[in-house]
Amino acid sequence: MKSILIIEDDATVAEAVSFVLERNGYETTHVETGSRASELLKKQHFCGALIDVWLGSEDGLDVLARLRADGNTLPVVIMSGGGPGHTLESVSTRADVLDACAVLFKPFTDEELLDAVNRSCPDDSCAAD
Amino acid sequence: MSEERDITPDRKARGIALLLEQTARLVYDEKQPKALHAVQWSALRYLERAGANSRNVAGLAKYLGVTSGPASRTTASLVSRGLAEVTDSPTDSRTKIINLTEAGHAVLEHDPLNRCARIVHELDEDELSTLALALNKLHSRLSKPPVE
Repeated sequence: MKSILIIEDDATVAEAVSFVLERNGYETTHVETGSRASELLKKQHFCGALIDVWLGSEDGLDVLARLRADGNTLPVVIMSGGGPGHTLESVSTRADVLDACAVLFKPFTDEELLDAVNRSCPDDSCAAD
Repeated sequence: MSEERDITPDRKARGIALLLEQTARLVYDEKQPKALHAVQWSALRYLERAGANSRNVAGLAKYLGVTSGPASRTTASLVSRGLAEVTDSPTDSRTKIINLTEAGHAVLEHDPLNRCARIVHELDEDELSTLALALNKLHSRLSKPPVE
């Protein structure tokens, strides 16, 4: 089963995203911070990650930048509804520069979520044992 | 992190900052009277990329970081040029969806960013990776208040 790491500080959004992905054959793990995600990525295999830009005091794109600077090439889908200091234009630009596979503008539909995740993780061979 | 106001940038740092500013201006250096403005190009890119649920004035406003007034005016300017059209949402009659027209899709093939993107594409992998991380760092710092 393909495993997806969800980095999202809003439990309600994480739950809704997990529900859609799990109903469609994915296994999900939810963490609330970038540091917890980094720890987990060192010891566990994931096929991809969904990262929210607004992580409380943290910037989800800075989390992605740290992963890329460490050489991590995990397929990533960015989620954002905009917010202070984060126009969706700058979010999508930085996400492109950091090799994110897709950007989901909130509110997005279940179909848009699945399409982005399916396109980001098309390879069945990445599924964990 | 050192306090930004205590840093005295050297000539090279100022030169790089100026080069960034001049490079950005070069992208939209089109002199034709009917040329689209940068914000109209941004809106066209958004409409091409956004899903149906966010392809409306509120979504465009969040994308551009403006209030709904300027976003409405930008939408109207694209509609008057025949590049976009506004229709009722099939799922919610209170909501209007903004769609690109065929002409809107066609004009995006001449997006002034394309030339810059093609030149960037020709950089070697190390240059590209260094540039990406450096620009991301710069953008991230500039979009936050200065460190006091």
